[in-house]
Amino acid sequence: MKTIKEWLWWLAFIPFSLWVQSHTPGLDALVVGLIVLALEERLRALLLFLPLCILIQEGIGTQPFGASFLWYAAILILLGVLHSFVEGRNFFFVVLLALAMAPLTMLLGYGLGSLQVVAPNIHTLLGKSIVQVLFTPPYWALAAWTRRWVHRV
Amino acid sequence: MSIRRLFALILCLLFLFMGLYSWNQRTATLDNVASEVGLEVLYAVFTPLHEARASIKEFWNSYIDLVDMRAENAKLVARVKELENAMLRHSENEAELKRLRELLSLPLNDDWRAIAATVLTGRMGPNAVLESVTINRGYLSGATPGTPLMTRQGLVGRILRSSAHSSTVLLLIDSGCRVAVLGQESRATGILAGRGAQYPLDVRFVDRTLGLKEGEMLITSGLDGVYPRGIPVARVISAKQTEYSQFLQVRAVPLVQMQTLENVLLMEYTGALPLGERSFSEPREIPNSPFFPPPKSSPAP
Repeated sequence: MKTIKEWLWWLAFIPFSLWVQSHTPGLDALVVGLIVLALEERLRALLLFLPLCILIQEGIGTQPFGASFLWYAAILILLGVLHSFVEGRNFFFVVLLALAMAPLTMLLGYGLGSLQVVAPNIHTLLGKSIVQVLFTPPYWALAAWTRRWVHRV
Repeated sequence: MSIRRLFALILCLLFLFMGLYSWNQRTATLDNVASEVGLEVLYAVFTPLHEARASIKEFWNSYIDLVDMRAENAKLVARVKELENAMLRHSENEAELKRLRELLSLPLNDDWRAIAATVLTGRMGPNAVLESVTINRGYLSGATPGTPLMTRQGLVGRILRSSAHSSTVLLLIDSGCRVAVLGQESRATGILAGRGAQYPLDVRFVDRTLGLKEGEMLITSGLDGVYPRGIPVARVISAKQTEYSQFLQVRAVPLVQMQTLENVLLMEYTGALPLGERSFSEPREIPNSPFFPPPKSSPAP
C-alpha cells in the first residue's frame, strides 16, 4: 500500500511541479523532490529521481547539456555541507539551503553563460535567484506535509 | 565530511562535467536524449492539461455562461444579414483582386504545407535561458529543427530542438536570433536581430542609401538559407542616420505578439529546391547589396 501511495505521490508531484515551472520562467520546482528524498535519507530513490530530474530540466531547457548536472550536484553537496553544520530537517534548514541556492544560481548562470559565449543578464539571474529562494521553503513545507499521507500506515 | 574529501568530490564532479560537456559538444548525444525525455514528459503532462482546460472552457461557454444570450443572438442575426449583403457587394471586387494578383504574378507557392500546432508552455525551467516556447508537434509530425513557424500575422521563429511529439521554438525576439530581411517597398536588405522580450528588434547593416522608412514592412529575404523568402516579419518603428556609420540605425517591432501566442503554423517544405532558394511567393528581384550576393536563379525543373 505504501509503495502505491509513494508512486501516486510522485505521479502528482512531478506534473504539478512542471505546471508550477510553466508559470514561473527560470524556476526549478523539481529540486524540492530532491530535497525531500535527501532529508528522508532515501538514497536509492534519490539515485532514480536525480537522472530523471536532470533529463527533464535539460530537455525542456535551451542550453547545451550540463547545467542541470552541475546544479543538482551542487545542491547535493550543499545539503551535505549544511547537514554537517546544522542538525535537523526542518523548515529552518530548508530556508538556509534556499538562501545558499541564490549565489549558486548566480555563479552557475555566469559560469555556464561564459562557457557557451552567451552574455548573462544580471537582472534575469538576480530575479531567478530571488524567486528560487522565496519559492523553495514553502513548496518544501507543502511537499513534506503531503508526504505524511504517504508515511501514514 | 572532511574538507579534503569535499574538495576531492567537487574536483571529481567538475572533471565529470567537463568530460560530459565536451563529449556532448561533439556528438550531441546527451542533448538528444535529454530532449527526447524532457520534451516527451512535458507533452505527456501538458497535452491532457490543455485538453481539460479547453473542455472546461467549452462547457462553461456552452452551458453555463449564457447571460444575455437571447439579445446577443438577435444582434448576431441582424449582423449576419448585413454581412451577407456586404459579401454580395464584394464578390465582384474579389474576382477583380484575383485577376490583378495574376497580373502581378504573386501567387502563393504550393511547395509549402502549413501544419497547425498549439503552444503548450512558454519558457520554463532553470535551463531555459533563451526566449522560447514549447509546441505540441515533434519530428514525427514535421517539426524538425530549423523548420520556420508563423502565424497569420507573420514569422514567429524556428524549431530549435524536437522530440517525437513536442518541440522547443526559438522566438525571433531572442537576443541570439538572426533573420535576413528586406524592406517590402525599398527592398533594402539587413539582418534582423532580437534583443529580448522587453526591447524592439534591431535591424543591422541596412545601407543608408536604400531608403528604408518608418512604417515599412520587413519580410524574410531568404538570403540566410534558414527562412524562406517572403514571410512578413516586423514593422520598422524608427530608421535614423548616424554620423558614425554608413548603415542606418533601424528598430522594428515583430508583427506577432509573442507573449500571447496560442496557435502557430509550422511551414513544412514539400518541394525540391535547396534551402536558400525556397520562397513563399514568386521571387522578386533583390537589389545588389555590397554584403550579399544576388540570389541564384532556381534550375529549370
